[in-house]
Amino acid sequence: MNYTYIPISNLQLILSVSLVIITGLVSALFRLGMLKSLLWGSVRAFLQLTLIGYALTFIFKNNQLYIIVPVILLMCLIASREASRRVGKAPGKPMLVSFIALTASTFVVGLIVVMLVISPKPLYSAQVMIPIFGMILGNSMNGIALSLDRMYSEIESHIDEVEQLLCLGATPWEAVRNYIKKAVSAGMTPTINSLMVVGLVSLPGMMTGQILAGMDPREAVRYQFVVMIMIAAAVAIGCLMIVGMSYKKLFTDDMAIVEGLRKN
Amino acid sequence: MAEILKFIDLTRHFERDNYLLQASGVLAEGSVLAVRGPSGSGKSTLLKMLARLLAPNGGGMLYRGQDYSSISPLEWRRRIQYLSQKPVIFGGTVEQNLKMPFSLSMISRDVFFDWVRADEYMQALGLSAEMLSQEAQTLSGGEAARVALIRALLIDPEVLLLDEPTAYLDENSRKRMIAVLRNWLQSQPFRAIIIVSHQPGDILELPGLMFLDLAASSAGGNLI
Repeated sequence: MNYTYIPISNLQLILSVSLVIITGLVSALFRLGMLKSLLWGSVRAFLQLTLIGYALTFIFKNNQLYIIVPVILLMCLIASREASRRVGKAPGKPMLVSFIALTASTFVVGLIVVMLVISPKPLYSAQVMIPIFGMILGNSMNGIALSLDRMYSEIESHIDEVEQLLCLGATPWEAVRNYIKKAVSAGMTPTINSLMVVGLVSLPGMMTGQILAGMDPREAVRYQFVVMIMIAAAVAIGCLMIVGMSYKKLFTDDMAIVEGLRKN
Repeated sequence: MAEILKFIDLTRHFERDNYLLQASGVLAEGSVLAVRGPSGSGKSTLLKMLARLLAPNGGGMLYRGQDYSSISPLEWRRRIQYLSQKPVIFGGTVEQNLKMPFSLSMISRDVFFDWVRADEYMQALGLSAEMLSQEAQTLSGGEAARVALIRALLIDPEVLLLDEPTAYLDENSRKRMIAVLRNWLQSQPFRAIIIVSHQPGDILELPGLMFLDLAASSAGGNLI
């Protein structure tokens, strides 16, 4: 059996817009008030993807580390802003902490996968590094956002218990460890769930993409397995790092809850 | 009587209503310092500063002559136990609540859970032994206040900072709690209490009583 890549023509691309029209009609019919956002979202998605298509072509063609690394760091920066958005008013600097956790987990796992598992030639192939790092980053970002949000919400809603534990002689870690466990678990649950159902309920995007691009499905699943394991590792490292660094910011040097978090 | 706790010009600025709390006081062994003042005068805030849960904007505190900044907050809170006005109870049974502090590194290092004392305190406060297996979250406010007090007493503090400890109690339970506090204070010479209470009848039964009045406005508190 021959595996071939089927290109999408301009006409086919325009045809896909008909799906937007269907969604728009549903929105108009039920007066959901989403038509404007839907159209703007579709236009933005088209422009962003077109631009990134040209940008990636340029980066792959040049394949220089001094271009690849800043691009990945920029991706980390955007992801950290998104991950910390929901906890923007939290004590400390959640965006900085997110950036450190995301960058560290992405680079540690990404480099292991690229250098040791895939081993392209040259090792710093942009065509391998950017998609791999991007996939790690996207999943870590979600995990970190969930962990961070859960940690703050758990501690905020149990602030009296945390303070009582401090009164009884608990260290800050002892006072919040139950909530930290819940936060790490919340960040990792989607990744663990996806490990459980992959191939049974859904075919992951990367694998689907490779099959559509003409790759033998048996080869595609090997890539997908590596990708899923690396994502799980990155999410675990990222979640542990983010809560490990963030919880300390909730306490003063005197091991008391910071004023911004107190009710009174 | 030796001095346990001394606070000098302990200050806290409330930006919300531009109010300045400033208080000084001395707590001697075997004595009770009752903090009085109208609502909003900073009584609870003063206790929280003394427990090092809130940082003062100025002034200082001495524990047995030693500046508070040279004592670890863990060690400080181990010696000076603060009980908030609203009792805080953790998930699990009453027994698990009483034993909970002994799972903390600071407490397990130098105190052991004492069943005999726990039983004595429960009886003295009118709580039955059957209650030990009860889910603590199902306790009434008055029962929770008594369990919280026993939990604090079992870790052997030297100073109790009590914010309205009898607020949730009926007359009989109130008398029992005051009796327990009086006995606790008198059973060892090195103990002392700072209390905020709107029940004058309660505190008048405590030994070695002194008062600290906090003013309603920006004036400071004075030891009488």
